[in-house]
Amino acid sequence: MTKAATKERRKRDVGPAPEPGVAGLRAWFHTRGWVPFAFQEEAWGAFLAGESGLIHVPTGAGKTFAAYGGPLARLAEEKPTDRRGLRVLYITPLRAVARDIEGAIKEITAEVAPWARVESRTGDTKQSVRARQRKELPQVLVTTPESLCLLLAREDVREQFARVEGVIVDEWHELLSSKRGTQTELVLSRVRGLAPGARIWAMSATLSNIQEAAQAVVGIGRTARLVTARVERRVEIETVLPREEKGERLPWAGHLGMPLLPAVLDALDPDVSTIVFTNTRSQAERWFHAIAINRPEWESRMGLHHGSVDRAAREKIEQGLKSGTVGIVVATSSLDLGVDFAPVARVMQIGSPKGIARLLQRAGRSGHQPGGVARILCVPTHAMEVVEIEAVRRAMMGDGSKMEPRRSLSKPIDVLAQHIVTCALGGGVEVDGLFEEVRTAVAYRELTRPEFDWALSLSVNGGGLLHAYPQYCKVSIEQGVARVASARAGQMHRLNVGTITGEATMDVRYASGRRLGSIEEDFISILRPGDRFVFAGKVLALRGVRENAAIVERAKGSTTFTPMWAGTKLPISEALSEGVRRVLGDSAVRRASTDEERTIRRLVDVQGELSRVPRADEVLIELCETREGSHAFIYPFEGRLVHGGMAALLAYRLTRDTRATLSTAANDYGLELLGPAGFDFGALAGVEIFDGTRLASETAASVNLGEMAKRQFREVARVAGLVFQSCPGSPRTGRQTQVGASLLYDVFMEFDPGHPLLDQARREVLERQFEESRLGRTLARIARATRVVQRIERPTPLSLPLVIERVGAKLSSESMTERIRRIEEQWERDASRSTSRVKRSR
Amino acid sequence: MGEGCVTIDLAGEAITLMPERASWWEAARTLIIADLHLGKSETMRVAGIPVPEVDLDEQFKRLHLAVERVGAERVVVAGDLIHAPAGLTRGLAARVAERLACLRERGVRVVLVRGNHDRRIEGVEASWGLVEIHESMEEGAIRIVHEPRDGRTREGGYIAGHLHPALSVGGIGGAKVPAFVATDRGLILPAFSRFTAGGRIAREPGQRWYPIADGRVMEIGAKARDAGIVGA
Repeated sequence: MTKAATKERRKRDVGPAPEPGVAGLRAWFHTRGWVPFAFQEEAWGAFLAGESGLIHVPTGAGKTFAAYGGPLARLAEEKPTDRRGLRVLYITPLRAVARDIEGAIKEITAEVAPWARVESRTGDTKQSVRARQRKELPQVLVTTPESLCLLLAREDVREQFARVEGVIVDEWHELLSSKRGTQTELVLSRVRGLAPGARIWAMSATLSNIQEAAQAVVGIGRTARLVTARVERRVEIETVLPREEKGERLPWAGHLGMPLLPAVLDALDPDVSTIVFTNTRSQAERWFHAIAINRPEWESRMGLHHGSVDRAAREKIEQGLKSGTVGIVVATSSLDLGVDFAPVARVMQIGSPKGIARLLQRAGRSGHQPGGVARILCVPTHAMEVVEIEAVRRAMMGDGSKMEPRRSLSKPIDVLAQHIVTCALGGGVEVDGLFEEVRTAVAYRELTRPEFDWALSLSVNGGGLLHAYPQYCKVSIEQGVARVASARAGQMHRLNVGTITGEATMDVRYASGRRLGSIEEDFISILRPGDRFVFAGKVLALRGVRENAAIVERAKGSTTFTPMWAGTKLPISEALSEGVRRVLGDSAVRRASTDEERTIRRLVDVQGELSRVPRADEVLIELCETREGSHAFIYPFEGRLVHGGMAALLAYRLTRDTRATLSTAANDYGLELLGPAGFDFGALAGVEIFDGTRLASETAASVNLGEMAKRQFREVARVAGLVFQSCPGSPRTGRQTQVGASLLYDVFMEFDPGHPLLDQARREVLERQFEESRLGRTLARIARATRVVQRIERPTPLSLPLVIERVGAKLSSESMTERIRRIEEQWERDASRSTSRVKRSR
Repeated sequence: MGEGCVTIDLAGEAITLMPERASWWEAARTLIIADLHLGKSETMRVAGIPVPEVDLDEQFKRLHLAVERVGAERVVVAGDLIHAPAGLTRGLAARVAERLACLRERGVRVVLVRGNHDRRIEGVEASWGLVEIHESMEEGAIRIVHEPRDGRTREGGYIAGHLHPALSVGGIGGAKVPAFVATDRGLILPAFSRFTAGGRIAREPGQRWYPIADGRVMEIGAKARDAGIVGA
């Protein structure tokens, strides 16, 4: 322990918190005519008493001052002779809001502890500020997890961090169950090691596993204090329903349709600042385009905000929203965060929010004063989404126990490997001590020494299982201390810190060079010059591809061609799926009293007439014979991923002893198995087929796990430092040392198949692609439930969407030869089409 | 020809495409391969990317098998024998020398047509006994070059490498298989090294693709060609 930290600890042992600091805080509140909330006072007291923990209050209730007040009161009490060094770290997941936070806490700091300097440090920080911070860090630093990693990689990190007293982590629920969260846990464990006196406080919106989330912040071996507000914050959910007198009706399927566009146009008003949330970038593009075409006079006051739109353009929209020049923003989850700093008058949600917590958070962007009412207007795109929205509404009337939990990941080895190099860069690190320190992070509490040693060896000798890799060395160990071996290795590591992995993308630019954003390579590769598509809210025509950029120009007219981005569609959450089952089951027996319930009732009546409406404790299985063959539909309502995995598993089990092949489809509500005419689905009525043992091995056998793992390996390899993400503006590494993750995957598979990173990629696929543990729980539930088998004559409201979905089913187990034959057929069709086109033109 | 092979006509010469990623010109008793990129793993490791010990042994084993299968008397490497000078460690150079000597002992000559990665190969080539390095080769109706565009500058057929052609067969991981790409004049070889990513080649009318999958060379475009749809 350092001298400063020892002194700090002694000071805290003296007794209860001295008053002057807190008095300053109260004074600041009073000059504004405010009185601190009880939970704010409670949080200040807990901090000053040396506790760590979690502040858990609704969005917009004043969390920031609750968390920052304690550290600030400490700063206010500092003796004039002792006013140096970094004291408070404020970690936010979103660098775009770092400056807003900096501004807000600067204001209060200037009055309560005027001697303290407040600065931010993110990827956007100016060179001059960086240079100053290289010499001396400010007292309060607002930063992101990634930028904090870079600070931990400073040679003088021990000296710089020794006096840290408080760490604040904002939006903890957003970080927690991602690799960024894992990285944050590791960063916190490092800060605890460098400054044992540091108290760590996170802020989180509503979660059902609050205690677990709190433990993940304070680490193993410390007690987590919970501060909860009894701030009343009402959330009102309204649903836009079809106006039947105007001939509007909701289809049974298809999230791409816009049946309620006229109602949305009527509800919008550019003078009332509104965020229109969508679920995917593609959906955002389509809705923005549709609104702009129908209300051209609004276009100058509208903005489109999603992760692929150029960042400068996004910031302009955020700014416009604050200043009032932009009235309507169509957005994706890119605007979910930063809630405290850009309130709007209204919020709309297009389609199902897929989760209870997510809708609550989005609603929280409106009606921002504490005590105000948060309102959200939901716009279903098909009939079942009315049920989902109703389920969220009912869940919100409860106490939060129905919210989705967020959990730490279980010891991802790639994030650890990156952390080890970061620590080795930070003035060298003692290996044994680091192992103990890492295990204080909840994500790594079960880490074994061999696992740790392997993660270390990845940097020391390449981690080869069979033998060390000659010539390779990133980190060397001398007398038990790990250091980075060369300046070049250090520089490469700094450039690639982080866990965010993008898809292979291409810039979209005008010929003048102005950048509009980025788009997936796969999408551009199917376009031909002259093709028109919608991007960044504009109709563009492709002129050509130059280096890594798609060159475009503005085009006139309209197009229905919208880029699809991979992997952005979330399944409905487990908590919500339970709610959906209950709403459906209830509405079959209860009288409808609201408009929502009446709309649901109409859907339910049709379903009941053609088949049966499953009760909450039933699982409905529909069987049907058509010209296509024999269909079985099962409705567990457990989300697309679980159904995809279950469909593959059931198909595998049903055909193990026969030569038949089944094709499958899955959506959020159920799955379809399609076999040859007369196929016997009798086993579905039994229990054995839903057996949950041998789940991992049989899921792996039933889908093409290898291919999926290869895709997942991109992320693992990037985080572990095997491939480098070329970021704009960074010095290019030589072409001769560029190697793609998919190629590396093949090489490892062949020459080092036991490599732990391959294993991690496979585990991540099973968990992320199929939500393996949720799949296991679902199977158990189905085995327990009453399985009702119903023969149907024609598609029902539940089965029709699946019939449509099947076309897009993707889990391919075709052999390479079969695939090549299919490509040949495709090429032949292309060729004959182009000849017939030529013929016609003659 | 042998199992899994396909023989094509290139400017009047019969060329056999082999699943070993090699092409066999029987009339000249010559096996032609391209893009070995020897020392690629070493180059990566020097640059701080941990890559397993891969390529060399597997490549030479495959080369030996192919040579024996057809009874080749000469091997022409159509460029990119090595990856980068940084990867040519002393140990690697010695191992390559050993494998090449082994081929020579069996009476097989190895000739290199220089590729863009071979620019600085001078210095090691002497120790490897590689006395024949050409910028391009011309034999009868066929030129052997590294970059296809150098082959198109004159009349007659050509065999080239450089582009590492591969066919995307879709699927979730974006799987690709190596492929030969032929037109009526030219043949582009797949990379002999398996530690190479497939390149992007634009599909053009008149091309035939010969992907290698499940241990054999397949043909795409034959049916279309026979039906008179593709090409001239």
